[in-house]
Amino acid sequence: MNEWRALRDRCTDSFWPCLTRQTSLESRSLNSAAANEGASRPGVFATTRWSLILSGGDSKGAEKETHAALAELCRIYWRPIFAFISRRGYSAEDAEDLTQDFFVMILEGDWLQHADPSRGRFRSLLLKSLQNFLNDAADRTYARKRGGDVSFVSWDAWMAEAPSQLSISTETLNSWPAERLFDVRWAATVVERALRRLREECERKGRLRVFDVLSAYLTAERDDVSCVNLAKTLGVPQATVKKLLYHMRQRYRWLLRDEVAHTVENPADIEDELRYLCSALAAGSE
Amino acid sequence: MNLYDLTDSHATITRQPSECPHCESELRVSSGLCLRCLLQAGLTEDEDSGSENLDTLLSQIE
Repeated sequence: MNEWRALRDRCTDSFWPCLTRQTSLESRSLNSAAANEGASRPGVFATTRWSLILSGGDSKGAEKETHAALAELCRIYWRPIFAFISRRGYSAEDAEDLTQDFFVMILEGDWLQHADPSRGRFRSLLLKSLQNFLNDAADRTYARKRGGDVSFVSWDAWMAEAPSQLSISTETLNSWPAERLFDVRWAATVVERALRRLREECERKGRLRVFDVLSAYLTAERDDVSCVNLAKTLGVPQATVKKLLYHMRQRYRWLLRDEVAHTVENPADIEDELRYLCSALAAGSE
Repeated sequence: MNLYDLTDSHATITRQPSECPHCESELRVSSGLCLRCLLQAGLTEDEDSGSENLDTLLSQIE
């Protein structure tokens, strides 16, 4: 499709990671860059992707940076979009195509201006735009011919880059509306990215084993943790296990909030966004 | 719609989900951790100070 090609040609690879066939090495380096963000700035969330996007770009350099930030957010949050479209009844193939077309619309440049003057959070704005996009798509027959000269998203590469381990019951999957699945997928993306960054930090220190053993206890109650057994497993004193677990939890919390920070305009919105996602997952309505 | 074709793009489908003993949610991510509890962890009132403490501790392990 010419539209795809033209858009791809206008953007550099770094702007348009979803349309270029990234190698796993390139993907890893993108993830590492994200993983390092904020690591040296204790307690402070730097300018986030969404706040950068909302600030707009009044110079060519700033505009480039803004577009790159938007492309990166789209790359990170493709699963909620795909899940939403699938739940609306499209086949997997059509859902892939629609997801890509949605990205084209978002990244063409004027999405923000047309989205909502009051703007808001990235998640809610994206969902609203996606609903409108699908309403428009429903008005036309959606039958794209696959292949040819179109550069499709490499779904396998995306999945390999950041595999998700979200498990969901058949009953839940069949009964929840698309909006709810979108939120669940969004929440899982945020959480899994924070976990992945924590894992990478342990790995960089040569302590992957520590993560593998202790991450299972990140949310465990104190009584449910046997420091004796964990100390034996890791070959460290019990006191060290307690410290490790404490600091891993602290670090995980910080990384989670940092991930959320990238999708809201102000750090003050992090709590609200987390509360919203928690309520979306509330057990009572599952 | 055949949701089972969606594999990782959507989620892993479990036919026998287990409830989280703390929040009763059935949604799990890696290592069987509860998605809702992991999100809730972001709301706990802790003082945090970046990665230094964990980094230092990891470096000290022999």
